[in-house]
Amino acid sequence: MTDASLEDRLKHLIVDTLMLEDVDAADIETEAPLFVEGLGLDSIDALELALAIHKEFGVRTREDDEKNREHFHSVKSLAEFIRTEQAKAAATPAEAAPEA
Amino acid sequence: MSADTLTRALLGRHAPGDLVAFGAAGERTARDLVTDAARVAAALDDPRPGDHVVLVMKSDRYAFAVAALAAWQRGYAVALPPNTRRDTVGEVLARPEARALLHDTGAGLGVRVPELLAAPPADDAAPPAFAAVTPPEGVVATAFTSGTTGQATAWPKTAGQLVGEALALTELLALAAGARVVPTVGPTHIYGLLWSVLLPLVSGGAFLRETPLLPEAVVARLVPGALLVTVPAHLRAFEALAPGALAAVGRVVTSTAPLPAETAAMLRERHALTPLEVLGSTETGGVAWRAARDADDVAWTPLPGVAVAVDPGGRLLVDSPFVDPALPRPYRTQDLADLDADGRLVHRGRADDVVKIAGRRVSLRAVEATLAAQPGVEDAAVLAIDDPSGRQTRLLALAVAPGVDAGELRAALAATLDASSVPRRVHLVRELPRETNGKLQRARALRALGLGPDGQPRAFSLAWDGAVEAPPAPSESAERRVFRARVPEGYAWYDGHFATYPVMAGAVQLHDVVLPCVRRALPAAGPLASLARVKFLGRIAPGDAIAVTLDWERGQSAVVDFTITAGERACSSGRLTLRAAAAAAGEEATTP
Repeated sequence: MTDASLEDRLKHLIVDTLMLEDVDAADIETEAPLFVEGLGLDSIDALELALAIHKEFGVRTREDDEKNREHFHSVKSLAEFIRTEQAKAAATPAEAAPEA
Repeated sequence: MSADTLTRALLGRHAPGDLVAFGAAGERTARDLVTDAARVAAALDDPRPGDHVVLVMKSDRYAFAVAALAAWQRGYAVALPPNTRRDTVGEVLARPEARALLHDTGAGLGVRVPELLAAPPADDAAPPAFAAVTPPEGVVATAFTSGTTGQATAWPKTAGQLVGEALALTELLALAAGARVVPTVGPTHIYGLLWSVLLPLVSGGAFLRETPLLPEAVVARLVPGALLVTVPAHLRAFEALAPGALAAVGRVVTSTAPLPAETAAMLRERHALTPLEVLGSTETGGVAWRAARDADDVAWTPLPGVAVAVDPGGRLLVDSPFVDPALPRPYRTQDLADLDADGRLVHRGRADDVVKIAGRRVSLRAVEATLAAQPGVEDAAVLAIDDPSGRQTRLLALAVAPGVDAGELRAALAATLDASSVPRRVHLVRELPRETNGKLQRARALRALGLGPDGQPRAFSLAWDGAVEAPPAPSESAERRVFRARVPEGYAWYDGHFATYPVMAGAVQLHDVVLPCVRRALPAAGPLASLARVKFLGRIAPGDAIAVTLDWERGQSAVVDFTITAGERACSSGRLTLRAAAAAAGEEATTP
């Protein structure tokens, strides 16, 4: 995966998942808040986005809602979160049966 | 309740040491609740009849319950703004009956409940006991819904309605003392107040202080046997959880919108859960329930104490102790329903223009009026289409607003409307497709948005592959051009032609398939004069890769033979006669 495009992939994922038909993915600012201000998204959007991110990147949200709020603040924070989680997953041996 | 206090009705099943609240913020007992409520009550003045205390308690359900109980012990009702936006809260605070404010925000006015609770209790004496007598017909809570026009609507609820319904639900669920309620919805609307505060209290149980939303956060707050109180949009996200992650859940209750079959199946297969769904409305309170084990089982059973009937117009009639006492009985709802032989009801949708978006009622006309009221907007229409996401319904808007930017228009709506009511898309058009009587032509309006009558995206023209080598023409003097395209699944012109067996109409083949090719091959050709020998031999189905072959004699480009083939299959053929190319100056005017 080319890491440089993670932010762009997220922007497209946001537009597609939330069907923001007026919004051009390229116009979403990487550091702008996604919720309340910015795109004006709500809690249902956050859930839809969490589900889409899980499907797309295999990453799950955290147990702590405060932390989740921080991760979902902007495209930048989401990308950082996904990179961290994916690095963690790569460092941990898979639970699958070991190779014979 | 008439000779009793509301506190006793709410805490009658708890011993003083029994839990009423649990969670990351710590456990609290019934004794704590009564003591803390008395401390907050002491900060309130004596009420006049009808006075309300406005509650803006965002974070801790226990603090919310303390504040509500404090208000009730002093004889106040509580007013619940629909959200914590400054203008919304301000509007509720400006009402004459709003006497005081209890909150947990950073605002510098009113009483900050967390500060009061954090202060050490005065040890010289027990806090003063207030115990206002609350008659069943007395209003104890007024919930405000964010009117789509920005004007909040007040929904007063009496002690009899709320406590009565909490008791009926306790009976329906056979809740024993000690039940643990884990809500994903806040307490500041009727559903949340009833299910996440009153039901746990009335039944002798306890509620979670926090309101987790994202799936992993919900899992982290579960306790064994928990009653999960949620809504369909929140349940949908549980798809991201590993099977077994919800093993601690005893039961799931969902309301405010029907549970989509897809979500129900996911919960059943992945988490072995069958949610109990409750049908109700702000006017009627709870009406009926169901626990659909399969997709065919769609009928709802009336709740204990609820009588339902259907009027000759198909409208659902409801009579129960939970219906707003100010309304006529039986109350004629805006819901359409049928009753089956067992007296169960089958919901048939709404009789008005109200749609549900993520469980919130939104009036299309009200959104439309808000859009039409924006500066520069001359005409506006709002359409609701099905949405595969947790939102379930999506709003789209068309506006005639010369010189106005669509994005700015949407931003103006977002500043006025509740987030759920803001159309996902505002599309500017020169004119709205209306009947002469002013009625919007829905199919044409959807077409302007690039959608078919089902709200799904449509392709309105075929994407022709221009770089196709033409096979040799039949003779030396002949010209031949071939165009290829794949007919998309969502090709607009299948609409209205045999939904289950899509057939491309002959007129569409000529007008939207053959003629665009002719225009490309012979840009100077005039308009169509006549057709001859046209045969429609085989069906063109969605997904077909088609080829359009055009043949004409060199120097006689006014007569063009066409064939459409899909693979080896001939679909149609015929001969077009085109008028002589118009004089260069008039060409544009005559080209269709």
